Amino acid sequence: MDPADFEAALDRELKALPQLHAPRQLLPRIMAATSAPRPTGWMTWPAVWQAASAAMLLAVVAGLWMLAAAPPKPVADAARTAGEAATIMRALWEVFLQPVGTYVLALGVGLTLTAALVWAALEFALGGASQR
Amino acid sequence: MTDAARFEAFVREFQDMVFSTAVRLLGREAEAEDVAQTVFLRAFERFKDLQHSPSAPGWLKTVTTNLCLNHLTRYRARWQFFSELDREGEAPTLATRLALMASAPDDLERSERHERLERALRALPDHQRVPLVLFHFEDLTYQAIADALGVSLAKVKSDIHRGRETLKDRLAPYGPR
Repeated sequence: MDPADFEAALDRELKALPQLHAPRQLLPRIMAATSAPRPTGWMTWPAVWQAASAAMLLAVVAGLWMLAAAPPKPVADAARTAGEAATIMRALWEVFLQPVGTYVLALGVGLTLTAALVWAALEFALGGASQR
Repeated sequence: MTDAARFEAFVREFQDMVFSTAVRLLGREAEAEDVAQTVFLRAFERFKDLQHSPSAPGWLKTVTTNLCLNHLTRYRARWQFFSELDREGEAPTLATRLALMASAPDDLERSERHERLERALRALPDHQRVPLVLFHFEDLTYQAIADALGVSLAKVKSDIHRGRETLKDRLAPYGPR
């Protein structure tokens, strides 16, 4: 048979092939898969995006790590200044406020309770006259 | 009719077409079933657009073809272009699927011919069967096939020619039609 004839005959035969029947279990599989809870968020990203985001996260963590280990001069200066300010604040607290802090707190609570009691007593003594 | 029922009807309508395309490209029913499921899951994600679209069959065929080509590339060692699989031992369960066993002798003969052709097609190595299927079933040009497979035009022509020759040899005992 001539190759061109064979090609045409083969084309006809192939195009005449009937569709195959899908396996019986395919439909239930698909319906089960569509009703199953689907992953959301990062899990649904394309693999390339996932890899890129993971790489970026690693880079950020590595950058923070390096910054903490060997910070640049302005950052180090700012950290030292903040540390000194915190030391001064702590010293002020320990010298002036902490020794009397407990007493001041107790005094505040006592005064508040006393005021509440006096108010309740006046209410009771006046028999609610102020509301009439 | 609920959305689920509508989607089920959609799957029923197109599952044979999707499965047939996948089997002919992949040559294996189990893999074709997996690909078909993935195709319909993608369809489910955009079912609102697809359900009334006249282009739904074309969309399904394109997605099926692309997924099959991805599958072949990913799972079959870069197409095995230079080493053919020995697949003679495989026995497709096609006979149970054709569902063409009519009682009339002509129908029976046609059914047997189709079965032989399907079997011969599936027995072709990937690098011959895939371009052949894309050419004869999907009506792609040689150039489009070369682009889709990422190979040269000459290779596509050569593989299709060899695939036809192989089919010719395997179908020869049954005589030309």
